[in-house]
Amino acid sequence: MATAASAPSSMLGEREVVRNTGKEAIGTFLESQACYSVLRASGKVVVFDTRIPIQLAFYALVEHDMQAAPLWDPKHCEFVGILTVTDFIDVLRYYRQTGSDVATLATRSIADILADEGILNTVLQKSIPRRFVVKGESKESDQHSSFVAIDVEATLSRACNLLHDQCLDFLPVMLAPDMRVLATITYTCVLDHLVSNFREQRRLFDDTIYDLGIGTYGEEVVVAYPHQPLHEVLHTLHVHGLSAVPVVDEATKKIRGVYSRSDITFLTKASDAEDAVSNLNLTLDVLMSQQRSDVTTPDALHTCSTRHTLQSVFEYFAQVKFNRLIVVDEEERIVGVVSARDLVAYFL
Amino acid sequence: MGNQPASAAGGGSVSSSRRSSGYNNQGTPAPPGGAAPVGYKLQHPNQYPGMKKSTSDMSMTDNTGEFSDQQQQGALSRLDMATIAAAEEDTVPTVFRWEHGGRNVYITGTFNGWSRQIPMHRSGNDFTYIHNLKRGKHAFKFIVDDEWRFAPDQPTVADIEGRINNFIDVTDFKAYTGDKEFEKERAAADYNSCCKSDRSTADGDESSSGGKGGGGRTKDNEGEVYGHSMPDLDEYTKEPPPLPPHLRHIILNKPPQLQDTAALPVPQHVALNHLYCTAIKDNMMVLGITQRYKTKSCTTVYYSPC
Repeated sequence: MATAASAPSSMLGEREVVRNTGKEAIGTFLESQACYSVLRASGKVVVFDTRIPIQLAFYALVEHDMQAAPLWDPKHCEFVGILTVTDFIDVLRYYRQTGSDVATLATRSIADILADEGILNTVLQKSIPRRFVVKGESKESDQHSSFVAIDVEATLSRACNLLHDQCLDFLPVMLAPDMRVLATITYTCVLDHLVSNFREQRRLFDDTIYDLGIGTYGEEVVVAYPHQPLHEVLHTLHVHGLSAVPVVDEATKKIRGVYSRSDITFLTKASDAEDAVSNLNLTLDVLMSQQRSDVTTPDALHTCSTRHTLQSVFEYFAQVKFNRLIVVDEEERIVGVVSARDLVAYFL
Repeated sequence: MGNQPASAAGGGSVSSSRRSSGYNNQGTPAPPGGAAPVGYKLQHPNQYPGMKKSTSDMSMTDNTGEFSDQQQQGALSRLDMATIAAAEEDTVPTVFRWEHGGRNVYITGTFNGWSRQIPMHRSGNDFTYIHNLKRGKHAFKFIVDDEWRFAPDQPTVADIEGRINNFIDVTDFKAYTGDKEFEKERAAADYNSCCKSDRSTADGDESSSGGKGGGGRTKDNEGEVYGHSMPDLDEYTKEPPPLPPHLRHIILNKPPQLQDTAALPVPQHVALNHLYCTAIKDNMMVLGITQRYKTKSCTTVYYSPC
């Protein structure tokens, strides 16, 4: 019996060592790599002058199919913030809640909207979402005045820590002497770089993600139901600071799909701002049937099981570049969610 | 027409070459533009009004010759080291300019006895030729793609048969020495020349013969100079240079990659640092520029109001 008891513990010890070696290897790797290494060979950055109308800016974001755009203040000659799909959602939610005239969106400039106390207080700060958590006791000034960016030569681990500590989704990479934003990086960019460099080293990552505690599981998983209207779902996303939520069939608890913030951009394609606001009353059922199926975006539904190893998740990521995986059981019932953020955060 | 061979250096040869140049002195000083000796200068522009002009006789008169001698005296009396050095050779390096298009441009004139058509050097759309002119007045004309033409922006003179040539007067050329006195004198000369031509137009005395070549210029209060001569048609109807074909490959216009919408094709290096813009729409202009950082390119798309 004594030998039987000692064998698993030594096995466990060995596993622990391998696991830590893998973690360390990635930690060292992130420390050695500059942000430059995750830049595309040829990339595009969309920059908005803060004087342009916010509606045009969102149309432009959709046209470029970009998730975020740095904002340039021509008066002070500096970048003042970053405009994302989330801002669009916030503004739409504000207009819906207050019943304001949506037509003004066509004329109000970005700077005007961002300076609007009403919008900030109503939708942005009611429940402080993670990206508005300001360090220290400084007042919760609008996040656009504190433009967080990272130098292109800084290490990747610094970039990851910034993303993590500031609760950011997008981190602009700056070439400071030129006042240029070279790219905005996300967790997915970092993960992509990791995966392409560590795919071969199978030995390091053959633990399951569940065992490693990567992701969110059980009661903590926030879900949405198909009958819910969009504005309710967006509120849920907002309150929990999420970028997407799994959509679950109420009766069977089976996974139906994922609704992510980036899906909101489809609203603007077919309609004007007024329509966009009224679309907030549509149910997920209706909206998900309208989602485009011609391309696989990083926000499409991808699933895995709790038995998948980190290595196999890496391998899967290399194929489809997902932003998150929904962990399901044999009956397609939701068990948890693993996001690119969770995967990167594990190594920090 | 035709210059006599240069026999001797100094004032003698100057006046003889001038006498033989065989065209009427229009009384118009060398203009700031067009064919002009490098750092030319007029000593006595105000001596001209005393002259009597004949509108029909196009040959050089004694009167003019004498007058020019006077002028020359004036010039000699103020010779400094630089002009003495130039006087030993007694030639004035002069740039001839043709700015009115064409493929092959030649120049000929009294400076080579109209004996040879000299090809001019192309620079951009313009043509230049530098020749060491003897002191005095010289007539010349351009041959543009086998067609004889004169430059409308430069002083002109008609010959006996009524053909119009360009001319230049380098009699009083004084090399630029860089001293302040020179700048002052030249400024005064420029100003006087303007006043002078103004006056001659007002008199009506010379206006019939002096109508060409920058005559009738006036100076307004701000010191801007206006003229009555029409600018050459080519000046403002010239086609802009064609766009180099490789700049038509605009990577922003390529269809986006579905997987990664922020990725663009790798640009050709010749396309770097060129600014592209869209037509203004909804009061908004979109600018695009591709720049390089180390081995990677970044294309910035900037939305700005106008």
